[in-house]
Amino acid sequence: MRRRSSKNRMNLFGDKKVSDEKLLRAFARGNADAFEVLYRRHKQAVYHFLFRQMDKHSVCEELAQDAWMAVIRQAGQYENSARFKTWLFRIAHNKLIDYWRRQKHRSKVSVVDEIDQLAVTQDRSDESLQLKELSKQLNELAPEQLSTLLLKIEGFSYNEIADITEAKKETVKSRLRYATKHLRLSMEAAL
Amino acid sequence: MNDQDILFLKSKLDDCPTVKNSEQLDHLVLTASRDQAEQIRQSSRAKPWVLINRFAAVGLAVVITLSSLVVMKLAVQPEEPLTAAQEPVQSLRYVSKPPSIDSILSQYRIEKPERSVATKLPPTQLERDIILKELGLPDPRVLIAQLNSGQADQVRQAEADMALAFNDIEALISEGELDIARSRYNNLLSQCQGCGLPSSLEALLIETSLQSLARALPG
Repeated sequence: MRRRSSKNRMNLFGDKKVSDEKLLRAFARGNADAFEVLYRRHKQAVYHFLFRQMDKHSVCEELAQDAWMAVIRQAGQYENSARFKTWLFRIAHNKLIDYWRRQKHRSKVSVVDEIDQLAVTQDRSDESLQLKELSKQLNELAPEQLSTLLLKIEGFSYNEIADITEAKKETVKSRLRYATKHLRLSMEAAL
Repeated sequence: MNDQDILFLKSKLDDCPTVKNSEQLDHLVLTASRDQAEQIRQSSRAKPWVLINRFAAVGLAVVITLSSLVVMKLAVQPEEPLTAAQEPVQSLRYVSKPPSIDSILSQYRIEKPERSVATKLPPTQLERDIILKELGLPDPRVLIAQLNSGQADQVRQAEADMALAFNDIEALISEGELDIARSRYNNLLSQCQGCGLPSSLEALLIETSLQSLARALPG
């Protein structure tokens, strides 16, 4: 009875009060349950971030896997110089940049294809049309502007976005301003 | 962009049920994390003599590698022209009177040998690739330790940048993506201008190897 079951330990780590940073440090000391909680907290956000800038699920899966593997390998080197989430997204962003460099160009279909698939099974309501239009407009943004916008939507501050994208804070603000203006104008014109 | 805009965009984009990763990815990542955790636990339980043996083996491998580097370095150094050594011997054969001070000085004048053409040329692409593949990356912590300690914020930022960049560079080199690895290093260089990093990835690897060599050799 002295040893807690794996499920009970998961519940302890699943508590929102346990910070990401503490979980990562616990994992770096050999606690696999801590990593599982961390992974379940952020896997969806990372995948969304990648998918909205990527053209294929298969590539997205590969990049997400690379990013999480890097987290596993480097957990011991992590220090509290940045929030865990910032660190995680920086890794994911770097994996994306590497992929684009390999491809030399960037596909512009991504989410639009996904929405097209949805449209087959769903009624073409105003809601889905609006979503489709929004996705289309997002994919017309320059890659750096799209990354910046998605990170802002994910809740990062200007400083954190600058850290993740390796850009200056003023550049981040400027990219965000341009992206927002472009989206607003194009959405108004389309709807 | 205000909070309302952000909430609107977030709600719209999150409303896409097919955007989620596969269970296979979950399985892969979680299995890898359990393996890693098990390795960490095992290594923390390892007996001291096992660690000592491991360090000794790594140390021996480093010494052998560095020694071979020294031999290679010496092998490509240009030799001094033979004439410089032969002249004094030949002049002694024909001496019929005491030598003048000028002739003595001229015998001891050492002409600096011309460097061979090979050492002057910049390394070829093939040589640069070999350097990346053969010389291991330095531990970023060693480089971080060399940073200017007066700028705490920059050092902290550099620590994170270097750890990430070096991990990526290592992975890229192992995948054979040497140009992307170089590009990643150049990014790090532009982000961390006060870090005193060498101007290219190859230069960093060579410099690190020579520093290790200097530390490893006695005296």
